[in-house]
Amino acid sequence: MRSWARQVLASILVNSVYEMKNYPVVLLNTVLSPLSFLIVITFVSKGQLIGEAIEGGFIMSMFQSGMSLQGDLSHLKNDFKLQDMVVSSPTTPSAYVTGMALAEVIYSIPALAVLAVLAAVYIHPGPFETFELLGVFFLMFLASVTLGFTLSTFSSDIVQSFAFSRLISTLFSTLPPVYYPIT
Amino acid sequence: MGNGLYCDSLTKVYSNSGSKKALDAVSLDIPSEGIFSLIGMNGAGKTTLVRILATQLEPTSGAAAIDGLDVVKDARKLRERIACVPQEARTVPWMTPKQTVLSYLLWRGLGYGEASSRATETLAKVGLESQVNTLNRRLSGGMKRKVLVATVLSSDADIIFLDEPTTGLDPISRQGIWKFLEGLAEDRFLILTTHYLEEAEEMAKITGILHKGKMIGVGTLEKLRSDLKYQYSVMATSGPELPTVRDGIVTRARSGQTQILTNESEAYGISRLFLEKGIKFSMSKISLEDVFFHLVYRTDSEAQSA
Repeated sequence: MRSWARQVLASILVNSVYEMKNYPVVLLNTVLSPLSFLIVITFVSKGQLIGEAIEGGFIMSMFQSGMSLQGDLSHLKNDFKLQDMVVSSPTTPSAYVTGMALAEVIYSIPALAVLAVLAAVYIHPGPFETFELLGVFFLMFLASVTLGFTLSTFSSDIVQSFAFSRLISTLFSTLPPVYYPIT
Repeated sequence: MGNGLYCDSLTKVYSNSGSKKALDAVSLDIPSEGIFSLIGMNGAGKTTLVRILATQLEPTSGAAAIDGLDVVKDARKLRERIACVPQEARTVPWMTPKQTVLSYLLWRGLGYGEASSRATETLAKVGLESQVNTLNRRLSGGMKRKVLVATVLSSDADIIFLDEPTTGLDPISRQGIWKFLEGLAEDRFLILTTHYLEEAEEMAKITGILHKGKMIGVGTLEKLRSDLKYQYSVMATSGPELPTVRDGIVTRARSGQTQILTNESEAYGISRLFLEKGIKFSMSKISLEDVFFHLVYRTDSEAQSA
């Protein structure tokens, strides 16, 4: 179990922490997409749909986190051959993938933190609503991680992989049901 | 199947390649110590063989084991003992050498503190002590290779796979890496592929020659030589009037010189004649390169005539 946790930690460090530490500018990137939609919707609705915009931002962040796994796994596998190095080691597949997936959530922490503050200020969710929202976010993340992981196993080209990742992310996080209360 | 590297009719057919065999009934049985080098042309099957032995790929048929551990059935146990730097492996640019080694050791199950100190120690061993915290993208090609080698060296693995570890490096960096690997092989078993035959000749205890998926020769250089009809090479500058070679092959070497492959007594006879005529020449036992070309040529000729 200890060994498994260390393997998960290694995946998290490689896929998010070291990148965030060595290139802090990437943190901005994670905040941009959800916040840009939030700002547009808030302006267009003159502030009336800010609640939906924040919820949509959360869902977009969670979905993008999962889908980013596809691009990142392909990148590490095809361009750096890191996955082959890990396969030829005692690392278990479950530890590798769990760590990589958790790394995507950690990568999204800046966006989630901003959205959480906005939610506390503008939505004031009660305990049940909070629980409900967390459940939705978790399921959204799980679905997108599964999709991202499955697609990464087919992908052998990083350009194609990132293009797919963005396309699916954008489709799922901007079309209904994410912002359906607005429509 | 005891200690050592053992392959029995190992065959691999990729699903997208029709019936073409990437590996065709490869069999070998060698001790698991020192350096075992695999040489062959591009597409000969070197990487496929390494990937199967390193438990990254399953064979289509046949079996392989290292020190009694089957590469498929005992993969989990074997992974405790192996480490691999794949062909075209690159350091992750947003990480430092220390972060690279440290994370790999965590993947192997070491605690953070131990992994951290071992990473620093190993990087110092390969001469990267002043670059431990420099981003990988800022390192030279040779340094990046050293980081990858240090990554596997830092582990407790005693069987190490290196797929073309020096490809693309300048001669000085290449020499540095090979020197380093030589030291590494003192207490570990290194399986490496290379296109640099002179380096394989100098360092490898045993060499395997792969051609079109088949193992066409395996053994020490002496053993490989002894399998050939001619073990001596006489090189002369092009254009001299050549003596009649009663038993041997006259070819044009890549350097443009004339090469005579022959047996020992004939080689001494030709050398005496060259000395008498004042022709510049050199005589030596055939090199690994000669063995390689000869075996590849012989295999292709046999295949054509069949």
